[in-house]
Amino acid sequence: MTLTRISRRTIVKAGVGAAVGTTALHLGARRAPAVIRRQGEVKLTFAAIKTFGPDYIAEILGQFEEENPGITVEYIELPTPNNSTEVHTYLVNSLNARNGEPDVFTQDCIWIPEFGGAGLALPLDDFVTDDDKAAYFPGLIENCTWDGKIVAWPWMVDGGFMFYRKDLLDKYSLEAPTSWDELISSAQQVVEGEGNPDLAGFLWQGKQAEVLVCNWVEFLGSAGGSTLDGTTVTINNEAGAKALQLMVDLIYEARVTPEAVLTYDEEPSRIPFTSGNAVFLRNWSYTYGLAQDAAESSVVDKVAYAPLPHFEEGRSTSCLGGYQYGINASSKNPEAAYKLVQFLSSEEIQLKSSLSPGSSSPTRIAVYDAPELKEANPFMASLKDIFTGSTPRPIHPAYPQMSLAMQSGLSSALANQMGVQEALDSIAQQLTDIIG
Amino acid sequence: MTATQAPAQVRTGAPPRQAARGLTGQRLVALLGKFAFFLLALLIVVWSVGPFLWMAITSIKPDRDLAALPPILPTEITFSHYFALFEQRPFYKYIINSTVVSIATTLICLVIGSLAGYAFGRLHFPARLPLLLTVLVVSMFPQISIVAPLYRIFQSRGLLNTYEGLIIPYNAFALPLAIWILTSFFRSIPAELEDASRIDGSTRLGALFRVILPLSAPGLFTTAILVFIAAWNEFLFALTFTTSIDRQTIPVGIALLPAMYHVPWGNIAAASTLVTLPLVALVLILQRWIVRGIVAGALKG
Amino acid sequence: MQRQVGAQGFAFALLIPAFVLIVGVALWPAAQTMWMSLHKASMIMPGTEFIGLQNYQKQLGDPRFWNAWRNTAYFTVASVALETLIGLIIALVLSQEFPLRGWVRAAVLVPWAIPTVVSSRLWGLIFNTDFGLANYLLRSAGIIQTDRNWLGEVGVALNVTVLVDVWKTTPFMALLIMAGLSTIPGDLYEAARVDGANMLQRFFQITVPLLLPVLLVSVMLRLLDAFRVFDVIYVMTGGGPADSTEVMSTFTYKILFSATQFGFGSSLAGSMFITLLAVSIVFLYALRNRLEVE
Repeated sequence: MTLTRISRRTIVKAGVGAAVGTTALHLGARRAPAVIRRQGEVKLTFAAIKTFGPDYIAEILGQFEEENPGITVEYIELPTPNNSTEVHTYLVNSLNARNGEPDVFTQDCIWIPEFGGAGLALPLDDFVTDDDKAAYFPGLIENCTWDGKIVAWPWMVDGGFMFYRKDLLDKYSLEAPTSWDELISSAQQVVEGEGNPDLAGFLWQGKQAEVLVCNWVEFLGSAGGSTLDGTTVTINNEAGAKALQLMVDLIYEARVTPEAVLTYDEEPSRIPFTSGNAVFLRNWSYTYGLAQDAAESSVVDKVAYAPLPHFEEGRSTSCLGGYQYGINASSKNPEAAYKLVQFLSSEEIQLKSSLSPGSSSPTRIAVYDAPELKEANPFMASLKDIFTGSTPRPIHPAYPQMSLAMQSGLSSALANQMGVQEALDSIAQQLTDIIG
Repeated sequence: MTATQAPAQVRTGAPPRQAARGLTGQRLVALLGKFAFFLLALLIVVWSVGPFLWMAITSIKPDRDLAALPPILPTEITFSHYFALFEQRPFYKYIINSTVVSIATTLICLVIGSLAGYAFGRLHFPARLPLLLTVLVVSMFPQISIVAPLYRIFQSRGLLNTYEGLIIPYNAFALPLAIWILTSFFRSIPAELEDASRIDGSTRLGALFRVILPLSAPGLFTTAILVFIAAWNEFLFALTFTTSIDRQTIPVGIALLPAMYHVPWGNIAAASTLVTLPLVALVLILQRWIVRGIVAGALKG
Repeated sequence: MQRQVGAQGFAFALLIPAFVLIVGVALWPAAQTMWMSLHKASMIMPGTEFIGLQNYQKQLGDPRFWNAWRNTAYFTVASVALETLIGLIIALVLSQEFPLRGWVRAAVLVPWAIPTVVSSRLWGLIFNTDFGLANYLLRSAGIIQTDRNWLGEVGVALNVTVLVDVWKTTPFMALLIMAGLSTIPGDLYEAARVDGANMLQRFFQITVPLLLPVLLVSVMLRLLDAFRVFDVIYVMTGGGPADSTEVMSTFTYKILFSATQFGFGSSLAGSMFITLLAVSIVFLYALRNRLEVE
């Protein structure tokens, strides 16, 4: 294992050397003084969202500096993904200042076309090789591409799952549901049988926020629908109506979802679940680590997970989430910046960071097969197949605008302020205007 | 219920006509009035401190009890959230930064605001009203809309990640309030007092420091508290203009406590309880000066 | 004449530090934003195009704008009215002498000392439908039979955010009113008492008129502030459900930093500014006598 890693790194280094040689010329033509590379003088800034263990990023940056004498990295800590608007604001402000700071940044996968399209993220096509691309989930490389250019590089991936109380399903001799009808009837049966007024059937995230769109993408995909096909809005059809009707019916007809989900983003939905007050929960992968942590959870060893249910005509869909690296187009040291990206996304670092519980999921396929991971974090190792088929949100530079329109329309339907069809009409109209 | 009844009972106790009635009746009414008054004061305290206490209780509960009600009181007390605060990252740095920024902002704002307040409150000069209105206009502009232009200005001046980068905008946005309060306090001081001091040979500046400021002590303390807490609580600028833990303030520090999606509510409650206590102490120490019967009335007599 | 000029020069000298700060850090960026509101511009794409007042025209035809405007107006009026009322009661109570007054005064300021980002989360937890303290207490007291979905119900959520804002900022109001009360000479009350005025008469004939200027300034400052409410709503509801708590600030923030529509977002900020200007003019008219130098 160690041997292959070293040899891989050497090969990659050689490859990058060649690539850097050509790009240096290419870039040199555009901004002459910036490309002077003298050892001991390169200082990078790296703006990353806060992830797990407190010193985790600082620690691996130390390793990078050790392995690359002459390059120092200053770490700018951004808030967490659930503060994604603040992270976005920071990136908009700092990238738009176009002064090369930060050299490397992390971005939500939904902003890639936006920053790529605005020319704020450096195209990486001159750096990366086909071998590099083949090492990752194919959907991710696609997600990092805008207008034919690779403008981001995969860091971590996430997706929506169905978590459930295995002990309760066993008690009523139920299997993990694969269709929505099964989920509804199982939830009703368990809630009725338990007779606990605090026990909810199925929790998800219905707050007027980005996470509502993630939930929507999953419901929609499970009905066989999609939001965009190229530049055509495809949301307003039978599949769309079916998906949205289900979300409304879960709350008001089947009554397995409490009305409170209208206020829930990730944590408010996770807390009742790990406190033992919900049978099913849709959430990101971080839930599992917390459910197994006795300090946080009353349901240790009682929780299992499965792909989300689906309709007859659709398939189980997991919304593609995660954060990816980007290099500032104004970076004064693009080669060193790429070196950092390459180090951070290397198999060694991805494996290292995936070993602790509650950490983020790797984007390199090979990491999932590493025996260390299977032993230390079997949950994560088992996610490979789910991530392979995850579904992205609409890929478009104006996605943030589209998301606002969807949040507003979906929330109106969930709060019974609009009928399902009326909400879909309104969303479709707004999306068409935005794409225009 | 008690809130609406209380004033009525205080009132019925007050008219002197009823004082003529029997001593016991009068004492009963006075007692009832007193009782209602204390009930009202109690209500005010519960309304103000109740949610804070709830936060303090949350901070010593284990996280898994967060979604459990009843019981209201924790079944098991843990201080792990407080330890976690300092183990996981140097939380004290946020406290130091907030203290430095808030104190500097308060002092600078008091000095600059007093000078301007004196000019607006007690001097005659052309364009006084338009200038005063300009100050007010500043307090009207939505701060979210100037973050982007300000970011660029600060970046080009090297003010990002510095104390000055927070103190300067905090002053700019606290000054309108400070100037308005101080202007109105300075104006309420009788002109004869200042004139007397001028006749005794004081310069105008001397009169400001020797007569006006001491007489405006309640206004100064009120302004100080208002400015201090505004600086202590500010979030948007601090988040945008500082990215290093060596300069970030408490609200940013608390916002950075979550990891990934996980919001460690117990730690947040512990941090909030911890940083609120010094402010309570500060107010306890300062409050005797904040609202003290001012000399102005006595001097008229 | 000489002395007049000297005094004027002195006055301007005193104003210089304040104005350097205010102009440089607040007015200049604000002017940039106003100028940007006349352009079609993205926050991140290069290139801007001058389009005059088109952004403002666009607002008038945008139902999201009117929705945010209505919610903001409701929020502002409701919260400032409640704050003034409660603030006045608190200030009157706290200006009486009674044991432990210092502690009560300190206690009153607690809500205000908690960062808004935190207090909004705290209240979010209290108003949680399933395990919140509010539902638990109200149910235990028999006031409600079933749990209310406080933040998820259209028409209720906005009122909850008003409550949280009132809790948070009433201390500000109480403090300003207390300071104002302290400037009212005590012998005025004494004289009135001697003349046989009862408590109510003393309140309406001495306290109210003498407090009015401070009250008006405080109400105006709070109106300006409440109209720009951001943190409370951003943290508690994000504008939902169904846009029912979307206010001008959260809407502007989304347009500026999520949608990166710099021109349109700036024009929304411009509209807020114009509204606040109009409100201030009304108040300044009421305060005009205090502003003129006799």
